[in-house]
Amino acid sequence: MTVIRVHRPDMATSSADALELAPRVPLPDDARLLIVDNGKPNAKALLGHIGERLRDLLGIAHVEVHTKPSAGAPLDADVTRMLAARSHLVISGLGD
Amino acid sequence: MSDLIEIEDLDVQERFFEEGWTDGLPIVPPTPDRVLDMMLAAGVTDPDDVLGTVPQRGLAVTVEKAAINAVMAGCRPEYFPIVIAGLSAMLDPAFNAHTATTSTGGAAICTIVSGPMAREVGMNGTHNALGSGNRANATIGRAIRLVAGNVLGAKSGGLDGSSMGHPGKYTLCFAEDPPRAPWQPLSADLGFDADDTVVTVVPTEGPRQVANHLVEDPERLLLTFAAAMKVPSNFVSGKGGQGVVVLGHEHHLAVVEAGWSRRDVQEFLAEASRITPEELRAGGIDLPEGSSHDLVPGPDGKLATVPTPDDVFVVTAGGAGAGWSAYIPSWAPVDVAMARAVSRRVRLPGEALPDCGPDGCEVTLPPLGEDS
Repeated sequence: MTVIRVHRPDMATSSADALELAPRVPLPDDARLLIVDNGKPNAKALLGHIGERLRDLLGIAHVEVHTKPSAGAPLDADVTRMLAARSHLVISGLGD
Repeated sequence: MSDLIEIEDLDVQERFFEEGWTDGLPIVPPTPDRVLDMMLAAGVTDPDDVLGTVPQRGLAVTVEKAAINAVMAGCRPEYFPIVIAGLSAMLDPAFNAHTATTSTGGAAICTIVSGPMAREVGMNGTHNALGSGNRANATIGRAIRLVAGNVLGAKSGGLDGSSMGHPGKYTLCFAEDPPRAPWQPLSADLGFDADDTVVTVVPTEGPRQVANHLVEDPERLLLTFAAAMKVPSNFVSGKGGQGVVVLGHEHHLAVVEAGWSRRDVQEFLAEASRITPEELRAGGIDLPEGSSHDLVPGPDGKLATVPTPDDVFVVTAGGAGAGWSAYIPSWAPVDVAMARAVSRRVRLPGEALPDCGPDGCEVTLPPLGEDS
């Protein structure tokens, strides 16, 4: 057999350092949960149920749903900042 | 410069399978000499040149990575300028590779080559144009798909969420068979020069064959295509997608001899593929409610399968036979997926590039209001 050299076809990845979860902070009495709806059929209904469940579990005062204009594009960075600034908790991911 | 690994030559295939670097088929080992030959054939002077990026993934595709995957796919070096054009189109933000290569819908990167270079490199646009047997068709499409998998991470277990997928995800690439006069090649109708070779990529479901062996009347013939376009089980039926109509030999002859232009065909199909909500429901398809993309029928009570005639790509291909064509629908509605077909001219080896600074390119544009 012969040893040959070949290129890797992929992007070489380095394993990321393990991250610690952010510390859990107590929620204020007027806590606001923001849910990002990806705009697909039934997404808002499913997320609404989750929001109500979390409202009961965590004593959240306000649940707000923000619907993306398209499931095929991420939230605009400015919109993301604006939503994060006015929320205490955010659910931003939804799979099919 | 890409990483090099040393390996026993007889172990290359198994190592590449184990690493998940193939599409399930054997590959040509990407040795430095082969990769260099690939890049030289396209006049590449810097292997780190970036063909495009996918910002959502923080990834860039360099020309060297493209060449490595083209070698693996089995491309001859002379195919590489076409591969580069196809990848540049795929990486255009309008194609939205992030979504197109991730979706559960499982899109192929359907690659259409129109222009003289298709013939020069031996691509097939006649018998079996969508089938097997032609090295250029098979490996150019495979190279683009391998880049999506290896560089963009679009593979099972990674970022490719295809629920079902289809065979076109191995490769789906074909050449236009130059149309009969007075039709122009697709490249010219897309606005490029007649001497240009143009690659168009479309994120698509798998091809459906369209049979009509007995009809020559263009309207009745094209109704068969419209029927294929608005089958309720096509995801984009009534939802505003795009589509590739691969117009076979006899069907092309029928519409040309009746005096129909490509534009006539596009306009007819855009109109005839409109569908009522009742027709969709008869096929078991309900309209979405409470989504960002609820569907509202037009004044005719129908929904558009393609928003405009420009969203129907009519390509002549296929060999003489009994009246066969094909239809390849895009995999998702344009406004849902934010993804659409993109075309790129193939740059010839040695062709001068725009003078690019570190952050962008300077190009000369005609003054506003002046015809280009």
